[in-house]
Amino acid sequence: MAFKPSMRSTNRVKEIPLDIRPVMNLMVVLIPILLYSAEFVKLSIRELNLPPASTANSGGAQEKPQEEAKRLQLTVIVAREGFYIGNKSGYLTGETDADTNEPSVPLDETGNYDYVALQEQLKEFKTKIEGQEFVDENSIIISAGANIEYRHIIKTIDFVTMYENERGDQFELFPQVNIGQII
Amino acid sequence: MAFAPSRAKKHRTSTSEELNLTSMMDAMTIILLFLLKTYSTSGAIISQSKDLKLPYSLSTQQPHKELTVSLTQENILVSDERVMAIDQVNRDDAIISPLFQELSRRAAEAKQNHIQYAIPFTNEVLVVADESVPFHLLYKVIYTCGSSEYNKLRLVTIRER
Repeated sequence: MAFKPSMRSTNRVKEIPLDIRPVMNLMVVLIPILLYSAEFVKLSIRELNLPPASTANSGGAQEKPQEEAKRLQLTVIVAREGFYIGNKSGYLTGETDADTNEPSVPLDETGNYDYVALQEQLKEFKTKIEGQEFVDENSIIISAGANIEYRHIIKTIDFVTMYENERGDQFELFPQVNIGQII
Repeated sequence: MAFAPSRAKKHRTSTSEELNLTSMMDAMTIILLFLLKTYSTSGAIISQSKDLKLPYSLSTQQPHKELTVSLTQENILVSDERVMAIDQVNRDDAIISPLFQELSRRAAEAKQNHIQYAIPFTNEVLVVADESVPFHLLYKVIYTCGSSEYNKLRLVTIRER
C-alpha cells in the first residue's frame, strides 16, 4: 500500500496573532495602582534646628564661655517696606542716609520684595566678615513684622542660605537659619 | 423603484474580526513608564486642601515621615487631628498652650515607644503651614514646638524646579 502523499507542499503557514490580552489586563491593573501612589507635587523641607528645651536650663554654666566669643548676630528683618539688614548694634541704612527709617533693601519698582538685591548685600557682607573669626559666621536670624506672610519668609530663607553664580554653581551664604522675633 | 437585495451580501459569511490592541498597548506602555518614573515609595506626607497651600522653595532636601503640625488658615492640626482654631490663639502669649500640651503628650508617648519598642525618637517635627500664615502665628508655633521636645523643625515646602 502506498503511503499517503505528504501534505507538506500544500501546508501553508497560518499566521497566529499575538495574544496580548493578558498583558493588557496587567496594565489595566498596574496603571491605577501607580496613579494612586504617584507624587505629582515634589515636596522639600527647610531644616530649622532650635536648641533643645531641656538643656537650656542645665547647660547654663557651660554656655557662659561662649558668650565671650565674638558674635555677629546677623539679622534680616522682613518688613512691609523691604528688608532691614543688621545686627545687635544697628541696621544698615538704605541709599539715602538722612532718613533712618529707610530699609536696607527697599521694595523694587513693582512693589515686590527685592530678593536679588538682598542677596547681593549679603554676599558683600560675607566677604567682609570672612576671616574675622566670628563664632556664628554661618548663621543668620530671620525676623519679620507680625503680619508678614509665611511665603515671603520661606523665600527669604531661600535667598539667604544659598546663592548661584552665573555658571549655575551653588555656594553657601548663611546656611544656619534661625527665626527670631523683633525685640 | 425599490432596490433589489444585494446578492453578494446575502452569501457573505461573517468572519470573526480580531480587535487590534497593539496601538493601545503602545500607549499603555508609555503611561506605565511615566508613572513608574514618578513613583515614590514614601507616599503622600501631607494632604493639601483649600486652606492649606504650601509655599514654594528652592530647597532640595527630601522630607521624611514624621509628626506633622499643620497650620491652615483656620485651624491648627497635629498629625491631621484638629487641636484648636486659630482664633483661639492668645495674641499676647508666645506659647500656644493647647498645642504645647498636645505635643508634650505625643513626646511622652514617643519616648515610651522608644523604651518599649526601640522606635527612635528623633525630636523632628514637620511644620506644614499655609503660605499666607502671618509671621506672629508662625513664630508662636515654632516657639511652642521648640519648648516641647520637638526642637528639630522641618518646614515643608513645594520644590520649585
